[in-house]
Amino acid sequence: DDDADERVPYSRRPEWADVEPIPQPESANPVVLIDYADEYVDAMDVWRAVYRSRERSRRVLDLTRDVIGMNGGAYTVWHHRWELVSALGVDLAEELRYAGTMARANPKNYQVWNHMRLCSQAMKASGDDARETLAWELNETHTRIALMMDAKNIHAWTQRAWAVRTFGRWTDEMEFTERMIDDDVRNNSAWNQRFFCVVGGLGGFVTSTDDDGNGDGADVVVLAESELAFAKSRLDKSPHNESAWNYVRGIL
Amino acid sequence: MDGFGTEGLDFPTETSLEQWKLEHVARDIYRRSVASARIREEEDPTEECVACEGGWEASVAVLHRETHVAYLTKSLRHLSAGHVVLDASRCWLCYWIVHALALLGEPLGDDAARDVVEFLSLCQHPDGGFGGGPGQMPHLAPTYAAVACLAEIATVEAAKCVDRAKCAAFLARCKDKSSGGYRMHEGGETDTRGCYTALAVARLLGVQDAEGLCEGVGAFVKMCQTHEGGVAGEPGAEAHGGYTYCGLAAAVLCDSAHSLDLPELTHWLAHRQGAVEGGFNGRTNKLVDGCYSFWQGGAFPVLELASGAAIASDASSNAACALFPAAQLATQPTSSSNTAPSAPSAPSAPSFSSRALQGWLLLCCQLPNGGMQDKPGKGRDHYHTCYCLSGLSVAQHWGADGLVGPATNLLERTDPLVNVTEARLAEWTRLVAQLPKI
Repeated sequence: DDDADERVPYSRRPEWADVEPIPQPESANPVVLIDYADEYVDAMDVWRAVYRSRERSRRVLDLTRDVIGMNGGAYTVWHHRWELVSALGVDLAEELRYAGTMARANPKNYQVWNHMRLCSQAMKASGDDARETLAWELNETHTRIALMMDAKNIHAWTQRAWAVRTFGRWTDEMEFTERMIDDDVRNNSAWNQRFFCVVGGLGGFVTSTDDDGNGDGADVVVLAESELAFAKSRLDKSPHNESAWNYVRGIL
Repeated sequence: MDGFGTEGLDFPTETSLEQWKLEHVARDIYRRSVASARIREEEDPTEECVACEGGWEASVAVLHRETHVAYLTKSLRHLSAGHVVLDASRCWLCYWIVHALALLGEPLGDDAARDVVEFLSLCQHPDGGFGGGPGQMPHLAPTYAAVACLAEIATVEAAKCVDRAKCAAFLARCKDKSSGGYRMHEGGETDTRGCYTALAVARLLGVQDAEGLCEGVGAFVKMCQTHEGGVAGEPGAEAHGGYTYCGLAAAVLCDSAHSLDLPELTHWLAHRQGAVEGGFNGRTNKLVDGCYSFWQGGAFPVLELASGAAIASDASSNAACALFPAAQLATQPTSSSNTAPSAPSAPSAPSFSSRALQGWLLLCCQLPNGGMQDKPGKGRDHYHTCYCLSGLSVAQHWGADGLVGPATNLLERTDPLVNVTEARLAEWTRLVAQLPKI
């Protein structure tokens, strides 16, 4: 069957008959007017109505999924969806997986990752260790998948860094950065992440101006020497690698 | 970036292969451009000298103004169905198009100006700020885009359009007191873009003295400055051109640029220009992209504003494009109703090869039917058209090498802190000053 032929507009679905669609306001002589597909206009007109009426229901939740599927950048709809998820008690792990799936379709989109963080924070706040572990694992999996498609996707790396800090997974991430550096020794995102782990894992490096007392001075030196050796071994193979040189400068 | 030389062949990775391919494409375009303009018999120059003659630029390194104006003018009214993914960014589309037209010296007619102002009014939220389209919740990015677009229009109606008091309240609601940063919208992400958009809007609306606006911004941006010297979107993330521009400009707008390590930032910035391509990349070991002509190239004048041009920099160690050696004599426009390019920067000011950047933009980023692109093969879009032209303006007016190409290439001068043309910004500022106090 051809899905496009099968799709019934919301405006003609009996279960939506109670909702009066609200058309999009436009100026008298429109500017930057997009040649919207009929399905989009139909869905958005109904969404506008239920957004205004503040209806909290599964049908509205499903509608937001439909709209987001047509325009992943609809940040108002994503925000609305989060309100619904919270109000309806939707399973956060499922929602996190949904955001991860949307991230694959929209890898440069901000909203998918923000949604993932909101779900993750709520799972952590539950106080349940199993939920917290699951939240970390889902973050780890979905960012890793995104990086398989684009090893330098800055949103995915940033989300990983946030998750590593939130769930305290510094050592795991050091190993991950080594694997990514082995995949492409010139992957600057991987080197940056490694630096982030080195600094974060120690509870903060001693900086030139501020010794906060975290970490034994000797530990810092041992770690620094080990990281310099790591960088040197990579530079031996590719001496013109700016990422590795910047890493060395950072460690020193 | 130095290019990888033979190392890329000995130890190839995806990064070096992609870089090598792009350098090949760029070199090929430059060679063909020069060859097509050779007019007289001469000894075969070495490939490093082909651009020294100067004459080829006037006929080949040409900004095809009419094609861009046609593309932009049509887009201002109608956009194809594929643009549905920008339905939450229609304010941005207005700004990209109107600003690009302004740079090209093509202000909107009265009717178009009125229609844009009316549309932006529909995007303004009753609680303050602007959404990406009518009925959307307010968001700092379209708020910046809407206000900057209105500033570019700079009519009385445009100035009256913004509810400044409500907008200032929206900015305050976005402020994240614990970090000093700004959330992009209620429940949204906090990053360096938020700092910039909030502060640029405040500057444009004349509310930059609002209490708490600047508090902690310098410290937040400093936390986002990485070991590489550039600035990331949030602490721990990777140094990136867009966020570097945003962080640096936000710090300057707050008069707290001194919070940052400016020499390190300059060092990172100077290494973002491709030695072969002439354009800028956004991150270490990534490909150059036309839009970074503004985010990275435009950071140089912001640095000048931050430091009074007294930074010691090793920008001279940046290998300028071999095909675009710095001209001994800058080409000056023969006639212009615009401001002529400013005098070359003081020797100690941070600098980039503006000749190479102009060459990249003119020869690699223009599409034959109008519009500009990321790099050859990517195709045009309005975002790249706006930022390629903005970068070209910065290179022409703030760079040390004057104008590349014929006099008709000269664009209007843009303010590097808010990216609105200086002439319209002056008029807008005058109009805003006359509005009732809030």
